Amino acid sequence: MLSIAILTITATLVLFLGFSKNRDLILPFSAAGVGVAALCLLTNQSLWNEWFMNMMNISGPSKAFSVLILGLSLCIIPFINEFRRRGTEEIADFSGLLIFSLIGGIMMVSYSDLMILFLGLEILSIAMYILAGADRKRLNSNEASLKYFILGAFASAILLFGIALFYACTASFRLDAEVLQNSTLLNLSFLIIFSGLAFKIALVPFHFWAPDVYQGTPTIFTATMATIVKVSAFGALFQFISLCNHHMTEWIYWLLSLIALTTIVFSNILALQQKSVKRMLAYSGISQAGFILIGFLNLSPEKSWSILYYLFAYSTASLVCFLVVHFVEEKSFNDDHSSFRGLYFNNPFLAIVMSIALISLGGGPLTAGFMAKLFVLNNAAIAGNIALVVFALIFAVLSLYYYFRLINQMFSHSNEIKSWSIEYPYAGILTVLSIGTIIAGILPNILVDLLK
Amino acid sequence: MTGQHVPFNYLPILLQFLVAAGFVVVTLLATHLLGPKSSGKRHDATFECGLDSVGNARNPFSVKYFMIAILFVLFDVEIIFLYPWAVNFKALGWFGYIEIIIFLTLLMCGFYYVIRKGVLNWESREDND
Repeated sequence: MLSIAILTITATLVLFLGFSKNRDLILPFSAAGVGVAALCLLTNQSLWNEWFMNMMNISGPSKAFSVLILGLSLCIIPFINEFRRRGTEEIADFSGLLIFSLIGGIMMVSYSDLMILFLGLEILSIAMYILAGADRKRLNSNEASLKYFILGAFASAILLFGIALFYACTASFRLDAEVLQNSTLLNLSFLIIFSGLAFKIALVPFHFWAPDVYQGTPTIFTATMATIVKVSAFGALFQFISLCNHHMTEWIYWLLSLIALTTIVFSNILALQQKSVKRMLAYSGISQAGFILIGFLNLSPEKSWSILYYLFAYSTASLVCFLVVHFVEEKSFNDDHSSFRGLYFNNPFLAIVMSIALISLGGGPLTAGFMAKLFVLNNAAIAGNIALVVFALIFAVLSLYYYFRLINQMFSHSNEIKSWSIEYPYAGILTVLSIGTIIAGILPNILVDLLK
Repeated sequence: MTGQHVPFNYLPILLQFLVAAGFVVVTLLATHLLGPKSSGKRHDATFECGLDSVGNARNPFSVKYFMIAILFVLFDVEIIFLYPWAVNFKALGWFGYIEIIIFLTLLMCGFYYVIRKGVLNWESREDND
């Protein structure tokens, strides 16, 4: 609770800082507020740990999810400064909204009452709808914002319907409530709540918004959408399944594995034919979400670390990819594969961090992505889902094709070579994320012990 | 709360639904069948408070109207939150008083933000865009 209070105060003050002429203070102040909130979580501040009749409780896995969300946002906040280079001076609004969305994210991963889930989801989503349209004068950005808003509002309504059915069965919003009604209706409500969350995660039957919205949104906020929103929604799903799985019948798990399978199959096939790198990364994010969903099939509290590890691996790599795309986009004004041609000769640093991130997304050895896929698929194989594991492996290999096609573009000669570089703070963040990816891949025990 | 819901309990609601839907259908059908029919150029023209309609309805409007409407809803809802507190003023005591002060402080922060952003400024043609 204390961290949420700190974030709220920070975000409000950041909004007011935007009125002062000196805009250099905004981002350091935002980052400091988020950092203090993360420290409060890490040091187990017991003040206000249980509040509002224990409707939310930050402990165990939900604490790890929250720290991951805050850590990712610390990497994104400095990049908001890039908007000033394009002539948009209202970075205080963007930074404030980003911090507000973190509050929603923390609520989503630590709820034990479905009302808090809905509130958190809306706080997160409304901030993201606005941030998707941050580039007000570009039509694409407006389109992305409107599409995301309309479809997102629809998904929220579906989630609410699921919550209403849950209430009809238990006469309570609490996840640990006693079940009064027949369990078929309850399982239907689980399924509907799951569809609402699956929209935010972008799993396959609910993924149609993702490529369009990702492409139109300013790339820095696409990175937010692909990492923070996905981690929050997976945290919410984790909380939901881990507290309710004793009520779930067999067919829910069959449906979940079917969704995981279709997600992996369709997203990888669609990613193969994308010309735009942002769309390709959107489909790649969808396929990674399918892999993470496999980890949910036989969930037990002591296996939660494999999901968290996968989310860490995915979000660090994906964040690096989107941030690099941002810089390339600034130079060449589009995000086609062809604009990455010869990146290694123009800006070797960006090409190398991007390659590490892409290899990690593809599950190449010595990176976090490899260990993440290993843990998740290993758990699934132990539980006996051999067919699912085989299919997932086939499509993981297929996905290497489109990752390596982009790496090949970056390392092949282009006609004109103009070397350019990026500023040191940005390079520092990208370096930290890449080193994190490699260390987590070579020495996975460090991270696994932390998560346990 | 036994959790036993017999569908029979909902019969009045179903009846009311049927009556409501039936009323609409019957009235529409009756006016269509019984009423006199007339048509003509002036009769079919768009009626707009007795004035001749001018131009297309899909004009771009200034976003200021929308902002005012949204802000109105916001402060309207705030009043709704204040009513229950006012009714239970004595029962809630100092606890309720402090809670409502916090609520209003946060709201006034938002109000100050709105004013500084120039949302309520009707005169300027070019506000932060």
